[in-house]
Amino acid sequence: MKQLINVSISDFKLIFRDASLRIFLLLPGLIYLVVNLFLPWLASRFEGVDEYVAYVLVVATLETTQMFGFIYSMVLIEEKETEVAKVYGVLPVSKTGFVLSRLIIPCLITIIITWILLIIQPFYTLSLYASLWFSILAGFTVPIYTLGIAVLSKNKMEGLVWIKVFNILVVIPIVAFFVPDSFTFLFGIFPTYWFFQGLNSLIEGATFFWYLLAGFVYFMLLLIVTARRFSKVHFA
Amino acid sequence: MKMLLQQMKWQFILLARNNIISISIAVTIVYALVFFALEGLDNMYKVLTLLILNDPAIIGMFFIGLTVIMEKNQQVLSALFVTPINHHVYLVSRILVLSIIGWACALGMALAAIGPAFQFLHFSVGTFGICMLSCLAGLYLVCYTLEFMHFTLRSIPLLMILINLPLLNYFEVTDIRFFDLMPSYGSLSLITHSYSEEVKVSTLLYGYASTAFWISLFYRMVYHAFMARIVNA
Repeated sequence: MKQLINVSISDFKLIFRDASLRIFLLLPGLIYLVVNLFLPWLASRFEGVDEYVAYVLVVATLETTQMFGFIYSMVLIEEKETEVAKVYGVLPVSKTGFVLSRLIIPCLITIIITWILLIIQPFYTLSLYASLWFSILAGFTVPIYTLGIAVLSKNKMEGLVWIKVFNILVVIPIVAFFVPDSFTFLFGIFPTYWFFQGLNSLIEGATFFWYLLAGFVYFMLLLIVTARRFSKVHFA
Repeated sequence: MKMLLQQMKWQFILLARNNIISISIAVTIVYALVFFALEGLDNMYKVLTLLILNDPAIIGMFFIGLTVIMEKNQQVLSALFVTPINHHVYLVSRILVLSIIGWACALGMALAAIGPAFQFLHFSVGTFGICMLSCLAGLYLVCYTLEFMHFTLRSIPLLMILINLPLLNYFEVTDIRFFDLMPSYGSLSLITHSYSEEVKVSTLLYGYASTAFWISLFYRMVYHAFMARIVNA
């Protein structure tokens, strides 16, 4: 376990050894600025923006997950392209454990960033515990997103194409808020639908437990599938 | 001309092998389904414009840069430039192929969102213009960095400035005249006016002239940068 934690920390440090990647660390600050300053300004200046604030907030919570998803998926694809992954494949550690340990730090950082965002946003008073649960759920998207892209891509060009697709898949359940109620559940096929609906219920003070539970079950299943698939194909 | 068509054919094959064409079609279908789901929404035209300006532009800017980076890394460029291939053919073929893909995706989205009720010519020139400008911006950027992550990171703010600033006026968030002079404004104007029933001729003329001017200027800059920093480097 100690070995895996060490790998996790050193891997995270290595990634940000490239100065250009450190700029990604500014992204959460940018999201905070948009939600805490720009959005209130827009709402005060333009009529009708108020009714979309909850939806903007819901989408903003998942934006940080995409930041780490992008960086780590590119790192994993590069390992595949340069065949470094094969070297990792012969290390005396469990492949699944090794892979997940590398994603623990970005996952934890995402949870913290999301939680802070939900706590400090100026529009709603949200329960700390409930916000934390939704932040944990948001954190789950990092490994799923990263591993999914790494499994599907042979090179960085394909990786970028899949990132574009994954970005759409993450955000598209927002449409469910604008369609007639009878069509809403059709969007349940997208995992983030359960996150969006649950968080929106929390914001509205409605029951969110079942959405949260469904989200956790769905995300866990996806995580198991992607981690297993990744361990099979990445080190080969 | 024959060489250009041949290069375009190979570019289509290369993009198809990297799943760019199939995924672009899939993404367009997803957007089309979303537009069907949102049928009757008040701001459908604005949503459509936003997606057209961003999605095909991303295809152009990112993938043209990545194509050059991949060709450089795989030593294709050095091999290519000792053949009698004209450098204009190299650049134009890549720009045209990605612009055709971007235009086709935009057309698919427009048909799904608003049906055939738009001016095809203005719309096509506008979307093609946006795609070409994005491709040219991507090519210019790649002349200054052939490292994948650096290129990707720098292309994000470039894309936001080039494409999204004029959109602020369109969405009435700002009313800054300077944004109307920006490179993508002409194409944006042509796209938005392709949905309108009454359009001033002077507006259309400005749209066409602005698009042609900026594409010519960008191409000139790209060609010089490409020759200096990649071919003769």
